[in-house]
Amino acid sequence: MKRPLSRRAVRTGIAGAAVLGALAVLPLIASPFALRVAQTILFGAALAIAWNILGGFAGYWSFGSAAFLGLGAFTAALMQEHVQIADPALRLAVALAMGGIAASLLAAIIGYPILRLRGAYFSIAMLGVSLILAELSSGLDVFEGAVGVTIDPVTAAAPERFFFYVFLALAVIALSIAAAVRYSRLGYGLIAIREDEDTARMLGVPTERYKLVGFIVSALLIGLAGAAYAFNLGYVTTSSVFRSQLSFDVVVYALLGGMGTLAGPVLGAAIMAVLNQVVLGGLLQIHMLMTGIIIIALVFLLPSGLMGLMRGHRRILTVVGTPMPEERAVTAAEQPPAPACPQTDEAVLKLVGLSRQFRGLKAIDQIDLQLRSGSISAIIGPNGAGKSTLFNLVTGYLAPNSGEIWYQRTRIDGLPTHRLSRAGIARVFQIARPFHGLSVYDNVLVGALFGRDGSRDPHQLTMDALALARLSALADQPAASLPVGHLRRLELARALATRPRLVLADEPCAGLNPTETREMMDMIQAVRRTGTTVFLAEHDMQAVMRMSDVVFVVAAGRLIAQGPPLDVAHDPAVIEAYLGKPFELGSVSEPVR
Amino acid sequence: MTAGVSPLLDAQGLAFAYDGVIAVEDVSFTVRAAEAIALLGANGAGKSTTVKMIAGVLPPAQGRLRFDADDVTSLPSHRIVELGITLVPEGRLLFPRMSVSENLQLGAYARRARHSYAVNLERVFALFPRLAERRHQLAGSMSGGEQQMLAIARGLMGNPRLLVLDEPSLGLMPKMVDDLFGLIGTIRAMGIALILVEQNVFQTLEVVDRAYVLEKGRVTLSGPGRDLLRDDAVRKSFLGL
Amino acid sequence: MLDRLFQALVDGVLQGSVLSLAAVGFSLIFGVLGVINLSHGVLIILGAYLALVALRTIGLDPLLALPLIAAICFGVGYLYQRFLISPAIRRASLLSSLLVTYGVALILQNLFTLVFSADNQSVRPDYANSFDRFGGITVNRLQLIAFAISCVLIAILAWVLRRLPIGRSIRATAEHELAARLCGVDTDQIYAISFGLSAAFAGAAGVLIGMLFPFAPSSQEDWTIFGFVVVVLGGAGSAAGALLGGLLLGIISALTGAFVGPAYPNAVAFLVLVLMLLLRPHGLLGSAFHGSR
Repeated sequence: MKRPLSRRAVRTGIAGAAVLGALAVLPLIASPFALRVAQTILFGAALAIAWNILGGFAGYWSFGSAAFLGLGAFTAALMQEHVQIADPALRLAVALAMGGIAASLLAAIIGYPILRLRGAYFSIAMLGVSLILAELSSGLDVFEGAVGVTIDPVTAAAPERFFFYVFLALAVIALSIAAAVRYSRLGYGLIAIREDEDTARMLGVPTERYKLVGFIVSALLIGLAGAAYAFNLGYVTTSSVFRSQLSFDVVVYALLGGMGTLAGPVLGAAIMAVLNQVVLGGLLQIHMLMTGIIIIALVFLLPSGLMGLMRGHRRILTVVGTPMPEERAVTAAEQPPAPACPQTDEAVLKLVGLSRQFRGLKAIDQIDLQLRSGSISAIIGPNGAGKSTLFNLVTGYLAPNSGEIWYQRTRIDGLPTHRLSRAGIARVFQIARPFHGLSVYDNVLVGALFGRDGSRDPHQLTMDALALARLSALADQPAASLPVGHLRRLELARALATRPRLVLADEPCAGLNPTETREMMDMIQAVRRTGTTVFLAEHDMQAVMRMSDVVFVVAAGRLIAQGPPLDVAHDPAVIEAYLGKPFELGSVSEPVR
Repeated sequence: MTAGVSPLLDAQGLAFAYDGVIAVEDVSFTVRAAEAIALLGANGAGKSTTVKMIAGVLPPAQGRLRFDADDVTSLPSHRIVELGITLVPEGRLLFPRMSVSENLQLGAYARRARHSYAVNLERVFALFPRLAERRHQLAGSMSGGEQQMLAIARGLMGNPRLLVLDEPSLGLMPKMVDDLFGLIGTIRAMGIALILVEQNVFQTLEVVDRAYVLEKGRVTLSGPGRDLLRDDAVRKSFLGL
Repeated sequence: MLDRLFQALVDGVLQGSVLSLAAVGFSLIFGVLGVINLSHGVLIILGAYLALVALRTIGLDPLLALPLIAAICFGVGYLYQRFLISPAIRRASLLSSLLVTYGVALILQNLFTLVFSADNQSVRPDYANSFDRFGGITVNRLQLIAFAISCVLIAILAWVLRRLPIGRSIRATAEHELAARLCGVDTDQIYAISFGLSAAFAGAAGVLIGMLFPFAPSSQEDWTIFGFVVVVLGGAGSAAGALLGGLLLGIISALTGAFVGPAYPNAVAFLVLVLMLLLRPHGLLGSAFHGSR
C-alpha cells in the first residue's frame, strides 16, 4: 500500500517552485523599500526555520538563538578582518562558512550537557549562554564588541539586491534541510522526543544523539544567517547581534506561524515583518506598543498558529515507505541477527544477585531469577515490593547497585534504554503514555521505525501490530481521544512494532473490566505465539493464574516464592504477604488455554 | 429534610463530548441519602466522565443534576464540594510533596468542613491508624495502598454527604482490595452516601445497594446489586462469563 | 585585602536581597502557574515609575508610598491574570501565555517611554547619601533599609505560603490543580491571587530599585533576566529559594566586580547560572512546586 505522500509532495513542489521563481525576479521589479521588507522576511524565516528544527520538532525551546547568531556574526566579521582575501565573493563565502562552523562547534560543545535540561530549564540555560557570549564579546578585546568591527563591502553596486539573494539562498537552504530532517528517521525521532522523551527512548529512539544532531543543525543554520546578517549590516557590535530580543522574536515567529510545521516559521516571519515595516513603518513612537497589541491579538485570534487554521485531524506523520538504507547498513553491521526461532530452554533474561537501594532502603535485595524463552512469567507482590524497580532496572531506567542482568548472552546492566530496545526489549507501561499529539497509526509507526535492529517494512509492521491489538479501525484517530482500555492496547501495539524478543508489561490488566481483561489476555497469548517472551507484573490474580507458566513473588525487595501458579497461590508465605486469603479460581474458572 | 421523598442526587439525561467524541450520551440515575450505588461498565463506557460531571470538573453538555433538590448542573467544583459532594478521583491525585497532615487539611478546605475539622480528623485517624502514625511523612513517599487510604481520608475530611470513589482498588494488591471493600461498609455506617466506580465487579455488587451498568455512554441495565450478579444478561454481556 | 573581601560580601548581600525581592514574584508565577512571565521586569519598572509619580505629584516619600504601590500592583496583577493570561491559556495553550507576557512587556515599555521619556530616572531621596561605618566597612543607609524591607517582605511571603490556608491552597494548586479543585479550592481565584502577589512584590521591589539605581523603560528586560537567574540559582516557587538565589547573585556580582574587573559581573553571573543548571537543574533548594499545570 502506497502512502498518500506523493500527490501532496508534487503539489507542494510545484507551489514551491512558483514561489521561488516569483522571488527570483522580485529584485528586478520591486521598490527598494519592498526589497528591504522581503529581505527582513527571508532573514527572519531562515532563523525561525532553523529554530524550529529543535524547538518545533523536538520541543526544546531555545531562548538563546542570539548566541549562535552573534557568534556567527562576530566570527564572520573577525574572519574577514584578519584573513585577507581579495576576491569579495570568496571572502563572503569563507566568512559565512566560518560563522556557521563556529556556531555549530559551540552547539557541539555545550550540546550534551545542556540538552539534558528539559522544558523551561533548557530555555533559560540557552538564554544564559547567549548572555554570557554577549558579555564576553563586549568585554574581551579580541571581539572588539563594544566598539564594533567594520566589514568591508563585498559588492559595489546594489547591495540590497545582492543581500536579497543571499538571504533567499539561506532561507531556501534552511527550508530544504528542515524538510529533509522532517521526513527522515531523525525527524520522526525528534517528534517522538517532543511528545514524550522517556517513551521515545523506550521505543529505541537514540534521544541524546538525535537531540544533539538537531541542535547542531539548528545552530549551523542560525550561525550562517548571523554571518550574512553581519555582512549586510557592514558593522557588528555586541548590541546589534547579541540581542535577547532577537531570540524572543524567533520564538514569536514560530509560534505565530505554527510550531513544528515546515511553513509555519516562514508565515510567522512574514506576518511580523510586514506588520512591523509596512503597517507600522511610520509609527516609530508607538511601534513597540502596536507590536505588543498585535502579538496578543494573534494569540487570541489564531490560538494554534496560522498553520493550525489549515490543518485538520490528519495523520501528522506521513510515512516513508522503507527505512533509510544507511541506517539499515549501520545497524546490521553492529548487531548480528539472532536466530529466528528461539530454543525454549534458553534463558532470555537472567538476573543474578540483583540489588538496588534508595537512600539506604533496599528496594531490590539479592534477586536471582530466569525467564525461559517463549514463556509467560508473572511477578506479583504487595504495592511497593519492588516490582516497578525491577522493571526499571531491566529496561535501563535505573542502574543496579550490585548484581548482573543478562539478556540472551549479553550482559545488559548499565546499557542505555534505547540500546536495550534495539536489542529487543520492550516495555508496556502501567499508565499508558501515548504520544498524545499523534494519531494511533503514527504512535505505532514510531515503534516500527526504531526498535530492534534489522531491516523491516515500517508500514507493514505498524499495520500488523495494530491488527493484533484490534486497533486497525482506529488508525487515523488522534491518540488523545482513546479511552483507557484502548490506550493500553495502543501501548501494546507500539511495543510490538519494535519487534521485541522480550516484553515487560506493567499491570496490563489494571483498570480493565473482566471482558477487557480477557481480551488483553488473548492478545498477550498472541504475542507469545510469535515467539516473544512475556514478563508481567500484575495484581489481577485471575489473569495471572490463567496465563502464566511461572509466577515469581516479591515482598520487601526479596523473592519469596516462585513456581507454577497454583503452587504459588497456596504458598503460606504468599498468602500472608500478599493474597490475604487462599486464592480460589471459583466458579468462573474455565482455563483459557 | 426531604430525604426519603426526593433522592439526594438526581442525575437526568447527562451528556458530554470531548472534541466532538461522545463520551456520555444519556445517563440518568439517582442516589438516596445514605445509599451506596455503583456505576459499572467497560473502559470508555463513560463512568469517569459521569463522575467528573457530578464533581463539577466537566460541565454537562445536556442534562440536569439535582443535589438535595437544588439544581447543581454546571456549578464549579469548589461550589459542589461546599454543598457536600466529594470526589476521590482515579489515580488518587494526592499532593505528593506535602505531608499527610497537610493533605488532610486541604481535604477540609471547604467552609462546610472547617468547623468539624477536629471531629473529622479524629474519625479519619480512627479509621486509618497508619495515617496518624505517618502524619508528618510526605504523601508521595508512601506506598500505593497507603496513598489510596490517604485519598479516601482526604475525601472524608471534606465532611461529605455524598462520597464518589473512582476506581479505588486500582493498582492495589488483593489483600488491600479486601480491606478496601470492608472500609466501604464502615463509611456507609457513617451515614454517607456513596457512588462507587469499579472494575472489580463481583466484590462491588456485593457491597452496594444498587448498580447501574453503562455501555457506550448510556445506562443499559440497573437494579439491586445482588440481582445483577445473578442476571444472565449481565453475566454474559458485561462480566464476560 | 580582607577588608575588601568583607566589603564586597556585605555589598553583595545588601544588593542581593533586593534582587531576591525583585525575583520572588517571578519565581512564584513560574512555580504555581508554570507561566514564564516575560513582563515581570516591566512590572518592577512600573513600581519604580509609580514611586516617581508619588514623589513628583504629592511629594510622598518612596518608602511611605511602598505599601500603596504594592497594593496597586496587586490589583494590576490580579486583573492581568484574570482578563489576559487566563483567557489566553484557556483559548490557546500554556505556552502561548509566553507570547502574551512578551506583548505586554513591549506595550508597557512603549507606554513608559511615551509618558516618562526613554531617559534614566531616579527617585533617590536625600537620606540615600548617608553612610555608616562598621569597622572597616562602609554601608549605605538606604541599602541597609532596602535590605531590611526585602528580608521582611520575603519572610512574610514565606510565612503566608507555609502557614496560612491561602498559602497552603496556593501550594496545593501548584502541585496538582485538579486535586486542589476537588478539595474545594477555587483555583481560578488562586491563580489570580498568586499573580497579584507576584505583581505586588515586583512593585515593592521596583520602589526600592528606583531609589537605589537609575532606571529607564528599557531596563525592564534586565530585570526579567535577573528573575530567570535568581530562580535558577535558588529553585522555583519558594520564597527561601528566591532569597538564596538573589543573595548568591548579589555576592557573585560584588565579588567579581571587586576582584576580577568591573566589566565582568554579569558574565560571571550568567556563567554561574548555566553551571548551576547543569549541576542542579532544580536550583539549590529544589523546586518547591513540581509538575505544575
